[in-house]
Amino acid sequence: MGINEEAVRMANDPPRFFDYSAHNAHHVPSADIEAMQLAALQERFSSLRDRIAVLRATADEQGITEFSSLQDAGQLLFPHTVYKSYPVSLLERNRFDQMTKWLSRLTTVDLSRAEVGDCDGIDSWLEALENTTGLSLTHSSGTSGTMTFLPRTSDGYRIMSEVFGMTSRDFNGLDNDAEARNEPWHTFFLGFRGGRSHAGRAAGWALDNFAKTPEYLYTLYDAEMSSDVMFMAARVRRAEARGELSQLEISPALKARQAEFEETQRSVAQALEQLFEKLLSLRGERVYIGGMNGALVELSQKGLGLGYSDMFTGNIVVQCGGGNKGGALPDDWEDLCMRFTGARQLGQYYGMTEVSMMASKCSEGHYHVPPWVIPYVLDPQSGDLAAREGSHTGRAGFFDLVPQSHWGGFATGDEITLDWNACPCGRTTPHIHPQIRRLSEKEGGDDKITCAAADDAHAAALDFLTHA
Amino acid sequence: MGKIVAPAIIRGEIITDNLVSFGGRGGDMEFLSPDPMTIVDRLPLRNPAEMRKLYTLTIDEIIDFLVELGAALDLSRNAHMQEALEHSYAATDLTPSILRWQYSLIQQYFSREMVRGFIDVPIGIPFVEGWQPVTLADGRTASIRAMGARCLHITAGNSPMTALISLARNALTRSDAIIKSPSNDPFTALAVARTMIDMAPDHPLARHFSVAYWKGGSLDFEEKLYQPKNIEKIIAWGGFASVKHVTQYIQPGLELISLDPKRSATIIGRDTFADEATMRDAALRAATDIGASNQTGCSSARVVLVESGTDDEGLARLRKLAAMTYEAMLRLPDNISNKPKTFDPELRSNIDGLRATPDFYEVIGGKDDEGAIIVSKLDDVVDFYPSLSGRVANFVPLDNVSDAFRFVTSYTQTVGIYPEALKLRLRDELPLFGAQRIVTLGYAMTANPALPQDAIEPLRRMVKWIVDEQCPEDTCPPLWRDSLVHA
Repeated sequence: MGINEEAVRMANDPPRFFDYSAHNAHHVPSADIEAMQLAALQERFSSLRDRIAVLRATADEQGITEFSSLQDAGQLLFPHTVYKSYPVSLLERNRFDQMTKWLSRLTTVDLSRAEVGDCDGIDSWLEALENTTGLSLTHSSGTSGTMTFLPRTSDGYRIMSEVFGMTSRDFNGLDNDAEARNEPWHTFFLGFRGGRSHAGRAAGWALDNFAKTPEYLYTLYDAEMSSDVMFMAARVRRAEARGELSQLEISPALKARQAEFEETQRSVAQALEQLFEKLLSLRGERVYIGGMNGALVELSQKGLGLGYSDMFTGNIVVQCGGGNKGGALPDDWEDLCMRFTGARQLGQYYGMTEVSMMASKCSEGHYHVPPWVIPYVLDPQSGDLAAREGSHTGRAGFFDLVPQSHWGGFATGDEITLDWNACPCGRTTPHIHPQIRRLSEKEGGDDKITCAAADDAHAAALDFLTHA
Repeated sequence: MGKIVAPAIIRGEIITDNLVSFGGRGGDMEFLSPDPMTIVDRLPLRNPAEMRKLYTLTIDEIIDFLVELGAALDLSRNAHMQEALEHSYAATDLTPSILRWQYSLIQQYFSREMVRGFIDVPIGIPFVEGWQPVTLADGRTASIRAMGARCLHITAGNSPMTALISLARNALTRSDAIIKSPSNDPFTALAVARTMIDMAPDHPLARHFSVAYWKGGSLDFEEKLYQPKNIEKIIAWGGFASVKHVTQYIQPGLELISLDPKRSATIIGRDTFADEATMRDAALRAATDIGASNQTGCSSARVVLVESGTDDEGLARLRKLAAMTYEAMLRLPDNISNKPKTFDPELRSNIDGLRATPDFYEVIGGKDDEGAIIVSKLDDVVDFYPSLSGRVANFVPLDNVSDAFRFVTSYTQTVGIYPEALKLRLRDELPLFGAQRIVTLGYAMTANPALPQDAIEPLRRMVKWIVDEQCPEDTCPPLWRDSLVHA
């Protein structure tokens, strides 16, 4: 098989290409990775250039007709703002026909047959798009006040889920563990059961890769995250920050769901108690815990207080994030959680709605970028690309080779240090240092909460909706 | 080596001991200043009786002093001001020509008539000069006097005028000032204080003007200083986070006068489109409100609401006005506006995002970070409007001028309006939604400190209003009299 076919095979389905092993993916000689990346990049550009309106306009304006190096694609990274460049009033006024029109410039999927005229909210719009066009959006938590909408297709989610599974296994020392791959794990997800946000989809990945069947999945909230509520959460936060809370109106469609929201809230307090009892009953079993840090800390404090520790030694994967329930975590929270559960590490990842990766933290504290994602560092002011060697700090850019219906090139709002030097952990892939921050914070601060805190923001919005 | 020193000046004494390093904004500038913890005990005026000397001066003598000081601050002959200007280039967000121009305005601000207005308009000189009698319906007479207080001024650094306004307000109210300099202007207040020391080191006005730098948020330091025994009032200029931070120290006996973060807007009525000349006039004025001092003021225009209509014809009108405004902005005199010194990279990302969305937005200019006009094609502002800066404005089409009220909140300071007749129609309505200053289009950035600011009168808040009540028993029946007790 030639390099081009190999490369396309990797880009189209990385989990399959690497035999569902993140260890394999992170141990390819770097020269081979780069050759495949360039070939895959060229294929994506030639196939998408004239089918995505925004890409065509940008490439035309810059006079780019082909890529002869990985750096060339760095000139064609969409600013992260492109996927949230719609007028927000379209969402507030339920103008989903216009939202669909906006989206049509960012995807190859034909949206002309979308039937969205009757949609009375974001949930119903996303559902209608899925049913009538096959496009399946994922959105950000909207912590900056505006939601990013990324036009994926169902295949993209299958890959995301498998990437999650293989990465979780590898970075928890289970890469070659057939049992870990095939047997069901008791899976505690300290968050919502599902939803169309990046955070909401995480429960589904835990289900696919660890629980395997719904009987093994125990979630904190027995509800899906509503995209409308998340949008509301974003608006509340934004309005508070801007002194505009008095002008914030709750749509009739959301008001009509008041009883449903109240029920969700009532169930939470009981749910934590039930999860705790369930955890105790599973001592020594194979257990996966994901979701919000804050809830895990609560469970751990309670357990340690009652004299329970090292509950699942040797059979435990913990990877929680963000979600501090509005309060700061105790300084020794990681230690607390490890002592209670018996986990030897708490999995940590760097990722985002827009890129098909979970860059996982290795034993050296570095986040490794997998071969199907090409990382870039850009000068925040000039946009100049850093060389692909040594170590550089600047705006993070990524080219995600997986998507075949939208453009994978993406310049983030994050400042990272990207390191091309060999990592002592033995992986051949470039890695990102642990200090990551929003560029907007550097410029003078904003009220960004982390994406993983989406569950909290959602819960806070429920609170607003049920008491407003 | 060679680091710039910003001393502390406490009651006429220049302090350069225990220097530590502070980073300026953006991390590109460092200066040395005394370790704040080593001066925290000396900063407050421990004995309020020392303020008695301020009352040995008549208001005319205070005005004389300020006028003389204004003349002495002349950039062409004042070495302190020249040095401050030179050092400020690295700290400020302003370009050199604009900063120089702002320094050159100081004398104009300190003309005799201007200075008199600063106190006579908001309070009335008789009330600071002596006791003003009033007779009340219950038979008593009272005398009222506005007296000075011990104030901390947390000044903003977007314009050096902030330091000058604080100085004038302090002197004219016979108050004691501690100026907390901002990191983007650590030098102006110091140069003024040094000039006063040169003029008359023991003058009461020089003795009651102290200047220091500490990093806002230094809890140990602030908890010691921000106490009612040290200061009675905090006048806080600045952004949301810094003002919010200060509120934690507010308690009985320590009052906050908040000149908090504000944004400003522009409303352009439909009569503007009567003819080309009227449009050009409005465009030049709008360009001035957007571009003056490179949009660094809280009164700088950012969102421009235009009663153009939202149909295709309306959008064409809007686009034409926006293009004229962009052209006019590029032609503004170099001392009031030019290519901004820095451009917020996140704002640039946001603008680039809109360029990919031609159905809803058009961006005029901005390719070279020179400033841009974002034209909305729907009747809504861009979601990132609070971060509009670097001469970037958002033109929004409206069918009816009353739709503009949706965008006015308690954060709205100035509203520039065109044409003038429209102002009379809107001035009773806009304040209901939060607007605080309504001004002829083109004059947003030429404020006069004699007038109310942010819908309060800072001077009336800065002074203490003292009453002396005289109650003659015959005209003002006392409580102890039986007949009254049982009445």
